[in-house]
Amino acid sequence: MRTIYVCEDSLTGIFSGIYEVWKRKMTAEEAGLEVGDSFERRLFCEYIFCKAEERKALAVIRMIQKNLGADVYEKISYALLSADRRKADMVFRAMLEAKKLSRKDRLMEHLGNEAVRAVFGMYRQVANEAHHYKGFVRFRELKNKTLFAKIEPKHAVLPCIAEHFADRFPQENWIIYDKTHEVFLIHEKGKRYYFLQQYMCMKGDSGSAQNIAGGFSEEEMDYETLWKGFVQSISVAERENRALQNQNLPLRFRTNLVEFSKEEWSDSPNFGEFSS
Amino acid sequence: MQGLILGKSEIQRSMTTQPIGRTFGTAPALFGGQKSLYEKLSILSDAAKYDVACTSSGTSRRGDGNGLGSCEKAGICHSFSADGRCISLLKILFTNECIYDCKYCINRASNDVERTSFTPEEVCRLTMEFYRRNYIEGLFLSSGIWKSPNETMEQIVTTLWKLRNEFRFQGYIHVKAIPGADERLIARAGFLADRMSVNLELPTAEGLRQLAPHKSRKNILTPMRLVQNGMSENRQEIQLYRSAPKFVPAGQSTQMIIGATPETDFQIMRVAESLYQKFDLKRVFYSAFVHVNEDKALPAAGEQGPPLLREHRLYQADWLLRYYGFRAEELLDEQQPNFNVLLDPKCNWALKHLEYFPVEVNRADYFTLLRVPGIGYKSAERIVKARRMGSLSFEDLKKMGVVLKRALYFLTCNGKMFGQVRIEEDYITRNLLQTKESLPDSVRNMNYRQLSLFDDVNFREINRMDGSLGCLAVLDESELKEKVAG
Repeated sequence: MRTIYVCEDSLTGIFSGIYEVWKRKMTAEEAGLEVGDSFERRLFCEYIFCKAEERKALAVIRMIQKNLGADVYEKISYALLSADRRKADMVFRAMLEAKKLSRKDRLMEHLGNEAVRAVFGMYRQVANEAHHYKGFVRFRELKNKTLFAKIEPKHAVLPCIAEHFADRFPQENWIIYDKTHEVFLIHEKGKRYYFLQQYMCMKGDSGSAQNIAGGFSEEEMDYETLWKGFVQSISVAERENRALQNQNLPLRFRTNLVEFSKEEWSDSPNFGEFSS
Repeated sequence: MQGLILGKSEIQRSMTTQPIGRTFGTAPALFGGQKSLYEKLSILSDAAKYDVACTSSGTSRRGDGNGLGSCEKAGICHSFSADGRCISLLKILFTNECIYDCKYCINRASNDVERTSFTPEEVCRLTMEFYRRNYIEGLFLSSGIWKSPNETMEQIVTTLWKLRNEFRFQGYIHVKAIPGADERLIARAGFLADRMSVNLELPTAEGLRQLAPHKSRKNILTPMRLVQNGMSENRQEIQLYRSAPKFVPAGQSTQMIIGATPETDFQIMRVAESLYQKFDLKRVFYSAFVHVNEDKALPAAGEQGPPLLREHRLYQADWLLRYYGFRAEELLDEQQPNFNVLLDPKCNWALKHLEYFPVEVNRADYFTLLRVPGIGYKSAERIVKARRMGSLSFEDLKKMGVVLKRALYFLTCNGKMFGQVRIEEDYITRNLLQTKESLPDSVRNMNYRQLSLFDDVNFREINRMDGSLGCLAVLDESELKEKVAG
């Protein structure tokens, strides 16, 4: 009989789950972890739902930092932001593998192991998407000069890019809205940023900027037009290569990019379906 | 040219619908007539688009908490234009009112194109507002020569000074050093910018004499040397005083046009190599010649378009010089002065040096692994680290993300080759040709066609390749496969 611990899909939730398994010194055969509430049930498994508890999570985090080092901890916490359903289980197994190693801080180099490879793969996916979004976030200025951006990432990358934008725009009020995970990242001028779950703030389609503060500023349209013009005129016609453009900038990112927005592409049938 | 015309219709449309000029219309124009900011941006970004050196990498700088902006070491791409190239910086000319008459350049004095100039304020406002919206990573400011090199450089320095000090901009700035400008102006620009570049324009002094009569090799190399010396002095200052102002922290780069003059790849690679060694350059960029002007000194325009494959091969070789420890003489020589069209430079080298192969994955040192085709520095690093934990098999390599498409012909794992692979030049060449590298259609779908007196398919390029493959050049791809497989 295998015991499956089901945890909430958050860093605190997953680390709390790992706490339960680790405390009981269970092996990968005896225990597993699942995330969220929509997973497939298997036969001959006992399911235990664990609550997210800060105290337990912190204990695990400290243990990882102390024994495996800051670098491994960073990679693990990135991997746990992934959309991959196996993430909690794979992190648990990678931690078990670390027990066998003499240099535990080099866990992530042990790519011969399946679990480590999976965790490293998830880390890379999240880190890559986060890096993409450092470039692909597009702020639009609202009437009150606040900058608002909407993104739709696969993985929950907001925590990975928060520090970057806070450092870059310290004297601006700005909001980044992650529509996939329904989280706001909010930064007030000169203050520390914070995260806000959507269900905690308002009803209806809060993602559309118009609802937030009565629409865009007067200059916003001008700068968007300037930017669209720039993106067109900077391309060398003799070198046109749409395949390369698609490879470098996959279509899924374009829905929220000003330069690819509806007005721009309405006459191009290829892009019609992406202009929702 | 097409882009420019398109730009004009855009302008007319925007003039009727959105009064862009409203915001800036009152700003006094520094020189030239009154144009809206939209028109200026269209003209001056269109004029700057042929410059390829536009990465935003090389500096890491955190914001100071009061201004706007920061820099990432690896650089950030913010968008990609229709030609697939990254848009990272606001790439513009300060002015395209140029007194020089370089034959290859769209902005040469003898061309009848629309001329305009920004004011320093306009450049600052555009940069700041684009940056705030996260459109760009910074500014790339180049310029035509307005009146004289010194007066042009002064305008550029004024712009950068305003941007850094009045607008408190801390993002990335790449600026051109104008050849012939005063030393002090170039030094001032160096303290304001992250990266500087002087365009070499053409690989040889002879080419420069023919196509750019107002520029000389000496004039171009002088500011390059100046920046280099400034950087090395600055490195010592920073060791002494940590807060000393930084001079060109992201290093300097240059670019040259490929295919406008008859140099061979070998000549070009040797020039690049000596630039890296003697001028301590961070990057050399290669720009496939785009036919924008009709001139008897330039090659005739064909259907073929710019020599993109050649440019691609040069970049591949450039990486081999900078990161893989290759020397130009290893890749090419007088007998074979041009890169193989069908195979990348590293494969080509490996096939000529089969005596070094196969390489044992579990024992070979990092630099030997780097020389295996298909293994890059990331794969090599992962292999070196992972094998400390246990020996690696081909299966492990695959799972680690090492691409074996090319590498498998040159590796052993625990003394065994992959399957029935033989170390034999013909056999490996045949198999490598089937890996379907992304070659341009002209090379991949080589077909029978009407003979022509002119080299509009660019056979010069194709005929340069390895003798053993030369005879196959005009066959259809499927036939080519049959031929080599049979």
